[in-house]
Amino acid sequence: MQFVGLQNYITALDDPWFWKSLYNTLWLAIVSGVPQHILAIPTAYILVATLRPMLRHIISATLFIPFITSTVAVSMIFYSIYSANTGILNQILVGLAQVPIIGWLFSWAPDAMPIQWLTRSDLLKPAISAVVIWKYTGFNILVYSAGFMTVPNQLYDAAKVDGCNRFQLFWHIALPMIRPFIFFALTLTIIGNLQLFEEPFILTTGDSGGIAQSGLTTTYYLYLVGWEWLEMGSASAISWILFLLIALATAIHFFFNGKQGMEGHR
Amino acid sequence: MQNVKRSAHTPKTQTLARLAKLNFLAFGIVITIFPFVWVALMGTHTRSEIFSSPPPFYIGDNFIDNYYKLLEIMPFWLVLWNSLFISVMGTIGAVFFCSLCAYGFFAFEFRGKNIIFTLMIASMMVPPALLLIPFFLTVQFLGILDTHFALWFPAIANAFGIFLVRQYMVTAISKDLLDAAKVDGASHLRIFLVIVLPLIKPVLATLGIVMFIGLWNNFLSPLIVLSSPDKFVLTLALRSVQSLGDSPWGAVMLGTFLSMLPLLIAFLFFSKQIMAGLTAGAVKG
Amino acid sequence: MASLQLSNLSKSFNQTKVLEGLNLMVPEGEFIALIGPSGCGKSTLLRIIAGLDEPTSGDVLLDGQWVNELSPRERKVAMVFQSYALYPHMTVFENIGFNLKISKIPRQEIRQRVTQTAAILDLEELLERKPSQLSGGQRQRVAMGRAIVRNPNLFLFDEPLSNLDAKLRVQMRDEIKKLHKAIKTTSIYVTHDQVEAMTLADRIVILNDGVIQQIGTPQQLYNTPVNPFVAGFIGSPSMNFLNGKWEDDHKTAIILKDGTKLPAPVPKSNTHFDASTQNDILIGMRPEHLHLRPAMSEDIQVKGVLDHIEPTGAQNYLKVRVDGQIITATDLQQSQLQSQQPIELAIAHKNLHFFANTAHE
Repeated sequence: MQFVGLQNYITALDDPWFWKSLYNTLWLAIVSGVPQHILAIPTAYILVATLRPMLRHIISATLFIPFITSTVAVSMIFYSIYSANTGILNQILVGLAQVPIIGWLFSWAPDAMPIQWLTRSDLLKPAISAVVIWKYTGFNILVYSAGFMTVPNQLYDAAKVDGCNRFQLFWHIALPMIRPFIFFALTLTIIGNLQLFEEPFILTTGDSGGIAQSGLTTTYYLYLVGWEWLEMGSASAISWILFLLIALATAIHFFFNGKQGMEGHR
Repeated sequence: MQNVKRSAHTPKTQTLARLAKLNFLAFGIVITIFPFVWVALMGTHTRSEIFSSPPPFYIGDNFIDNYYKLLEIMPFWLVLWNSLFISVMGTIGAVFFCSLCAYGFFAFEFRGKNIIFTLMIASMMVPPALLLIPFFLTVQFLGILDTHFALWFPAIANAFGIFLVRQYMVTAISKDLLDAAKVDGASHLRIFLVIVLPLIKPVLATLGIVMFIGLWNNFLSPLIVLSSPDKFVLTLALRSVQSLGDSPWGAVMLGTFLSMLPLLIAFLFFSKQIMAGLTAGAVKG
Repeated sequence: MASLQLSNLSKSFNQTKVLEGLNLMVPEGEFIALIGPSGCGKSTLLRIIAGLDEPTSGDVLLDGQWVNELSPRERKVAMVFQSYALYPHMTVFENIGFNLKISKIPRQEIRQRVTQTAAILDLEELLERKPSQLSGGQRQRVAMGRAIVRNPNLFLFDEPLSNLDAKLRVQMRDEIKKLHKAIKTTSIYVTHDQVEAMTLADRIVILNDGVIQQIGTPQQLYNTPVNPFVAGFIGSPSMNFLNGKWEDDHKTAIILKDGTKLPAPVPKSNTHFDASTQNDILIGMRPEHLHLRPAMSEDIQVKGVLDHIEPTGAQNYLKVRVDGQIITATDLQQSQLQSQQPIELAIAHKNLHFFANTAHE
């Protein structure tokens, strides 16, 4: 081993693929992260507020299944679903165009065929995001359900007496009360999403980050540099930069949401 | 009394709202379940059936052929055994080691205890991707590249596990109980085995579940550690057949489905424990 | 069974002194109560005797043998905890027999001894139950059974009754008393309840701020408390204290702030306090010794104004304003009195307690 100063860092920062991977990572982190929570919070609220415990458990357990299955297996399935020529997704889109009433919504689909979900640089990232959202929303639903269950019923009663309607109950009572849970779930999402690897790796068959590197995340690139091209030095530099990125994102999150999030109401 | 305003929540709008909610949930469930149903179905079809139009939404009759094709493209049962071996060894090891270590943090007072405990918790914050290179270099240095040992042994010392078990001990076991056992003449080993272990069974189950699922689904560490195909684990073997030319999709999907089946079946019976386990950190905040 | 001796025992946590220079001799078979306000160090002392904590300095001797470094097991002590500390996953039988099992006693004998113990404590029906299926009193008895089954050298109780309701507490108190009469094991009983201590103990040790204030029989502590702390701690309602000074250098009378004159204390034979050496004096009067009647010979008159009456059923407590403060007197006759009415109280000479008033130093 030889000491090379900051050479590895300079190499990494000079590398257009590296910058591309950072951009992809941030893009995926946001687009695959935000919808998880936008979907999970209302779902959890509906589950807790309107369903009996037994039914609630069955539904949340069902929605949780993707979380316990291997990302590799799941990505393999989606790899087949996204298949351009005869994948089930394209077939369903074509099929929907023929359904009465809602058919006009999908009238564009037959002309667009075959949609190259995984081999078009503008569609690859959304395709990856969909898998990530699909896999992790169930987990967030569970966290938020636990959060909503900590809200005492008397609080809802008091708010009803004060004249809140259902939406106001959700917005003014339930949502502020689960702030610590939102904070926690967001922290996990940020840290997790900035390290995405398996979904893009499998969906691009591990081939240099997919078409025009549009699926190349930083962890993915780290793997390529370290284990395909066998340049551990550069890989180390990348992993430190990635660490800084994660630390920075977490710090920003803590700065803006931390105070309210950590205080909690319990 | 005649001119009472009707509230906005007439029975009709209420039913509509309920219907909308149920539809929303049903839609979510369909989207969630569909890929699993689809992979199961594909495992029973030939390649040409899978890629036919309209797609085959029924159970096909090519299951047996797919199975033999699967055995042709990968040593499925050997690979399954490898996954099982690594997951079981890592799980048992972690459950035992973490509870021992947690007992140390719980029952003993020693200089620097708080510092060590804080450092350990801090180590949980380090992103796994960052640990990839040190992990690889250590494994390389120890000369255990391409062994299963390199995959299950490091998993045993687990900061999350120690933390989880210790927190549980704090709530489940009073200091009086330890003292009572000491007065009764029990040694520390005996207290741990006879008093503490039976009382922390729930958290051991939780930890075991978390460990097993994590090890079973692990991909990145096997990817960088294992190189011989006969040592591959399920995730690795599956990905290795993904890019075969002229992929036998029926067989690949069958393999994918079978690889998920153990956890799916376990989830069917232990959904409550598994869900509690995997959100343990979150829910207790 | 064994005797216990503590000599010059001290214990500090970090810089905080919890116990300081304790000396105590407990002969074989005696029942000792350790009593004091919370935080006085009594539980720490018990844990040191048990061998669960180590003293910072000083010695613990059992039957004259130095046991500082012995484990609880080697000391052969048994302990009843405040929370009972029953093993939740074991049955009553297993709980009681756990120590015997560890001591590798043959199963036959364990069964026999546990059954015998269960009979003493009326637990025979409950042997197969788990602690969670027992009531508070039953758990308490199991905890006792776990201790007595071993024929220990020493019996240690750490506030064993404080988790029970009032009625059950009295009942269990009697049972402990009976038990000790029957088996006569040397016992150390920590409590903050003076009634428990008075009724159970042969001798009581009063602890405050880690220092032993007084050791004595219940009667001694009541009749001749050595300092205001002991005087105020024992007795209910608490002793009243008035501040006084010598009227003049002749030291013939004590004068209160409002001018009331009290004659100089008659030195009691067993008194420990030489009043003549002090300037500021604290005069103690127990409420039950203050009577609502004119003074007779050998009596002292205390004049005041009735503030209010606290009825308790059997007697009334008169809250009387004397010398700018409120004192309590017991009125067994439950006389009809008006608030703000002038009151004359009498107390016998022999019932006055005198202490040095150290509050001003």
